[in-house]
Amino acid sequence: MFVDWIVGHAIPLLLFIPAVSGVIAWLLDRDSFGELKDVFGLIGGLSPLVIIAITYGRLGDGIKWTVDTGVFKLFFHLGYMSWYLSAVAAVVAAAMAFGMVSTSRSGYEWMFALFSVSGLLGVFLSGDFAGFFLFWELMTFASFMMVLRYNKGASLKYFVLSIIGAYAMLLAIAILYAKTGTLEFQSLRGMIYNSIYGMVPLTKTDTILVYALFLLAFGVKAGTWPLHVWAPDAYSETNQSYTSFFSGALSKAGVYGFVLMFILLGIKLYVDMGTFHGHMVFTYILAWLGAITVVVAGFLAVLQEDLRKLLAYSSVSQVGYIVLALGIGSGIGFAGAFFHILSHAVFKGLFWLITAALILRTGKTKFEDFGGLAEKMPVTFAMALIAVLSLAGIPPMAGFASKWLIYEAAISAHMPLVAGAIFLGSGLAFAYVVRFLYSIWFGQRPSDLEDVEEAPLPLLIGMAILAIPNIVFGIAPGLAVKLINKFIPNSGVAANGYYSISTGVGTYNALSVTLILVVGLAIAGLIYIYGAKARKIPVTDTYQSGNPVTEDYNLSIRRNFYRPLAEALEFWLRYSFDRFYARLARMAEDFADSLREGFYNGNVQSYSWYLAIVLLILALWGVL
Amino acid sequence: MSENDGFISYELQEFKLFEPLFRWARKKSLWIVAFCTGCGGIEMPPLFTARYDLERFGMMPNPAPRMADLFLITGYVTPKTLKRIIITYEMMQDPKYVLAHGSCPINGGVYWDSYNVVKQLDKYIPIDVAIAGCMPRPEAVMDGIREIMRKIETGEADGWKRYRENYEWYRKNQDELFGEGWREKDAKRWLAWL
Repeated sequence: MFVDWIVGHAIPLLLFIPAVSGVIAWLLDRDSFGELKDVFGLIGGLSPLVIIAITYGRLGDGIKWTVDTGVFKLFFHLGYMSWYLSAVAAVVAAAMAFGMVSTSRSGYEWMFALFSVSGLLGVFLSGDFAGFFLFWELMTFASFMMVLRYNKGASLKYFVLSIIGAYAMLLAIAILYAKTGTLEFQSLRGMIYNSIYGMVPLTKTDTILVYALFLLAFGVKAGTWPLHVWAPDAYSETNQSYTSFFSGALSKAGVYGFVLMFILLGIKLYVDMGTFHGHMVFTYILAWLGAITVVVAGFLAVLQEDLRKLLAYSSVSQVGYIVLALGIGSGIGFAGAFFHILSHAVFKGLFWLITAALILRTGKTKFEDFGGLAEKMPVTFAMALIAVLSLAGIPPMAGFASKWLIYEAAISAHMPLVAGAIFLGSGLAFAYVVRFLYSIWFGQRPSDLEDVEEAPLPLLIGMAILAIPNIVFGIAPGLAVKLINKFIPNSGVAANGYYSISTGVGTYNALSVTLILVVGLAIAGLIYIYGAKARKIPVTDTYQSGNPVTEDYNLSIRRNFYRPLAEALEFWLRYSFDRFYARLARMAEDFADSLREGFYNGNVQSYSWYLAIVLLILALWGVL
Repeated sequence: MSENDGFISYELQEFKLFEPLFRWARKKSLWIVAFCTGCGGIEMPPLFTARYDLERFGMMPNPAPRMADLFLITGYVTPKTLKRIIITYEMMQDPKYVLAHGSCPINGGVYWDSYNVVKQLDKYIPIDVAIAGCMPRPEAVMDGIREIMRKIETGEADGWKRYRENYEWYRKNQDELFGEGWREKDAKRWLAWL
């Protein structure tokens, strides 16, 4: 009974519980109510997961919900694809909520964090462009407010770029609406299909313009090169528990936008833009944007000196994989993209929660201040290891299965250069996770970190929520592929049971890989145990060319870890889109200043001259 | 055999059956820690190059003490170097062997009346085989290596065990030469100059 009611009202519950409990948490932010705001925050954060779990297997033809606002009719639809995306968002939101219990400073943060949960779910569930844009803006605004609390400059950069993207999208929607007269996805799709036969006046120029505007709109959110510049600042200058949702789930809104573009406009774009060497041009552009993002952000991540910046660039790079996989344009590519949406959300969310724990316990963010924390925070370290293995794409973690699908897609689509770019990106991913492992967890511990404690329980619960899917979907990739195959017909990826997936090119049997790994580890363990007795020695008992050393010497490389790489890239690092946009912004500011000073100059005579000029124009026009 | 019981390692009693195998494997893969002291350093490369070629005995020069088991002392040892030698020697894994090469480690050689040369290395770290000569020919060094291989086979090369058992005595000699707490003091002396 109750379950049926929830399934029937799944969409309004998903959309409103987080936002409403966020507002309640904000209202309860008084000393007299104590921890109550955290309780409501947790309710808001966990409710999507509960509802999504209840609706599993009960979707049927999809759950629909319509609201008539008077001006627009808003359609919402919970189909298999939106269920999958919402499930990913809900898992990350639940983990974020637990993390926020430890790290949130006020009800303000709860409110806007939960607003962005509602906003993202709304974007995924919308069945028309009106609701899509509405929730898109809610999501952008909420995340902007979260960043604003910590850093004004970073938040403005994010906001301006997001607004440019959002209004590019509005323009594209307006063009589509003007030509087709509908905002609803189903009928819009039919209209677009008709426009190929000339029944709807959507010309080739319109299509290309809409494509370019969508590229701008969704590219900003997904952090695609060259629109990624907001991400490193915005991801780092906020509550890091929130960033696990911001970077893990919110960036998927842009990716979902690209998916939507394929669904709605795909055929029209193919007809109007044609092919290039056997690839559809519009996907080919996307594939290359993704490939450049992967490589550029990978290189930049390797060179960062701040933990948060490194993870932020890594997030940009990993979302680049998803964009690239979409750009391959084949069924395997789509399956790989959706799988990577899941695995990126879980491993990057985990990374950010670990960062939150580190910042909470040490108050530091720079690599040069860390070291040797594996002994002090063993559980967090274990979680970090899971995240690292998954990000670097090491079986049996989810990251391997999804990257494997993307490789298969690139290879079977005959895109050698794109495949090369993702191989390079993977190598870079190894390079920066090694930096993360080495600088934070291993080596000599600075003396001011001697009394660091293990992360608090709520944060550890949040980490566990994200670590479990990393392992489960790594060992049972068929589970994810089965879900994905429900909404991508003929994807070309088959799930042979839970543990094995296969494409036309090859098969990945995760269970046997796991078993071999476990057996291998067991054999290695036996050799280690019986090989000789291990003796624990202090960290300073190390070969410093035979010289005696004490704790006074810093023997870990904490700064400029990849200096030779930075030197090799010196030429390329001179060009930066970050600086380019900054210069552009300064020029716009100067222009605005000159306008203000030039026109509003306080000289009465010039105002009368403006009047005379306007009169002259009117006279020439023939009005007077 | 009886007097060398437990030679392989104190820790590996359960593998006693394989002792001969382990000894054979050890003597056939001696890795040298590349620590060239004094003039003898120049005599090491010819040993490993085409003419004399020690690699046919399974020997390899190796920069990491933790991976090496043969320490070649190739000439006079000053107290400053001795500190580094002791630290490096202690860092090597058991079992480890020391081959003193040339006259200086034995009795100071031509520097018998120098204030700054250690006259008898055996007082500070245990030596398994010593080769006299200034400098010894590569053939002589190879002979010394053959000797150390024989000693490994029979279990007579037990310097590492002597060092462990008589550590008090070695430690006393070291402290007499350098002064107590020399490791700490030596490490700290650079801090002022950083």
